[in-house]
Amino acid sequence: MEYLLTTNALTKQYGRLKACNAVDMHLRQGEIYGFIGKNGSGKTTFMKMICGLSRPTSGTITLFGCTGKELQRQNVFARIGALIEVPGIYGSMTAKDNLKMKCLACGVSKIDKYCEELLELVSLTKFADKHAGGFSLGMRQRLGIAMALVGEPELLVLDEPTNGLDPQGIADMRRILRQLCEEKGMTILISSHILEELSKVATCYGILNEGQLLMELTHAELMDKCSDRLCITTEQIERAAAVLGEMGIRNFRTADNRTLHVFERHEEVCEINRRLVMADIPVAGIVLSQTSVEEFFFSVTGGGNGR
Amino acid sequence: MMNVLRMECFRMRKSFSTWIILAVYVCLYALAGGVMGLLTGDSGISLAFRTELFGAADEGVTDFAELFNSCMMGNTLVLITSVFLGMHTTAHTVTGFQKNLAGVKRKSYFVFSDLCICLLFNCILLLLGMAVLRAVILVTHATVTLSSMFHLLRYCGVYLLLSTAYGMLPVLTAALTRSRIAAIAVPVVYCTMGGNLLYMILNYFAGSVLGLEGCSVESYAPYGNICSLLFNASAEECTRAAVSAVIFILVCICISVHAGRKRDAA
Repeated sequence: MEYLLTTNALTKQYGRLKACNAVDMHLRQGEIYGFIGKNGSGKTTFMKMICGLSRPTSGTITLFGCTGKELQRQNVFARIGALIEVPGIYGSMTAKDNLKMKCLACGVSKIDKYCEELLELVSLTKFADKHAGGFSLGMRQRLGIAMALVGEPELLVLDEPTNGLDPQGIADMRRILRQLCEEKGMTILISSHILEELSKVATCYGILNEGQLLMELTHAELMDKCSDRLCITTEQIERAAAVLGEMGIRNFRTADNRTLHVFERHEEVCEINRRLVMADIPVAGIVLSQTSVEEFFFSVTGGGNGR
Repeated sequence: MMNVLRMECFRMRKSFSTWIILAVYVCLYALAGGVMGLLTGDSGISLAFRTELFGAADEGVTDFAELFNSCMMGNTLVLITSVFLGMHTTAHTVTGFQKNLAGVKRKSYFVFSDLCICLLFNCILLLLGMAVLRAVILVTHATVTLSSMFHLLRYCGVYLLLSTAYGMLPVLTAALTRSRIAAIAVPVVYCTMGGNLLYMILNYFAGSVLGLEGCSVESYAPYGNICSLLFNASAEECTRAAVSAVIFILVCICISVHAGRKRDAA
């Protein structure tokens, strides 16, 4: 599948601080890409550069096959809808008027009907004629998402869109994002620090720390790393694998030259241990490891000391 | 470009500040016009007092263009324009709405749309000013005539250019500083005191250092012309004022567009 967005050594420097440091990111069409990173890790800076709101200090962005000056010339940024940081809305105007403004800027026709549809999508129909200044944080987020959707963008960039949303709102958001991805073929780049939440919707991930992209992985790879496993430590790894095979255990993998990871029949830990010992295999350790997405993130970024 | 302009016109129409500023303008104008109307009308105020105020008063009959001119020569319109444009041009930055507009092809569209909004707003102010003045004249039963429609239209045309040029000052300040306070304060200070001080300094510099005795910088600056332009000014004066306004507008556009291109969104 072709990449919709790639960056090559994308860097943004403010004075001496490199907010984004040589980021090489790859986003395929139709994916929901979850950007994971602590506060100040450079997620927003990266997203601003992608959306054309900020100029990179160095590096290149390739979007929809265009790069460099072509991005501006081909008006590629018009194909992106974005909600970066807090929603940019006029508090003195109604929700509908805010949407109308964006519609006018995008040249949308039949504005009234279009705005109503968008407001319905984000469950703000009842508040269409209320001033946005009186909206709660969650309602503002919803309106911000509706604004980002104006003009049917092919790439939707959402910076922590679940901020301020209640559980129902978060569930609705998940539904909307899946719907947009599946029905309209929209590609979505979404950042969050609620990692468990992100793991419920994203199809691939990028882990950003101190401006650097540490890792890119698919949802399957993340689940693989985060799923429960039995870690068997032994010097005779090949013989141990053979014993597991004899027991009918198929879902296991060699992690390194001393460790096997078993992903099934965890409740039979005593039996596995007994069979290994009976086969004269010295078992140095056998433990059940349960890694949450959050723990995995901390292990990659080297954080989480304050937990 | 037209999409941005349509959006900005919609915003102008929908924003509270536009209506509040227009209401303040109408009140000020009605007050100023009312005082003048009373003084020129059949109000029982002595002819001597009227003469003292207006210089010449032919038994209470006043030229509408002169009356309009004396209202325009004050700072009211440029102050109102400065405040409005200062608020309007920085609103996208202050609210963060500019983050929704990354898809607009050229940043220069916003500067050009600001220019159009400035022109439109000044047209509204001029027409509103005339309408309020006319209404006040009717209410106060002042005896007013119109000596020359041509002069009045020419004056309005040149004044429109000058006030639009002045309105580009907050746009320029906003592009350079991105501060709403600065975008309002700089033109307000300029038209209340700063402009005259600046002209004095520049004239002194031109006379003492460059040897250009009798140099009058204000004759080539929009605000200087706003203060001094008379409704029956000569064609040469009008041309000079119009050309200086156009040059000022072009300079403001060039610098604002350049500054906008260089900057990231806040």
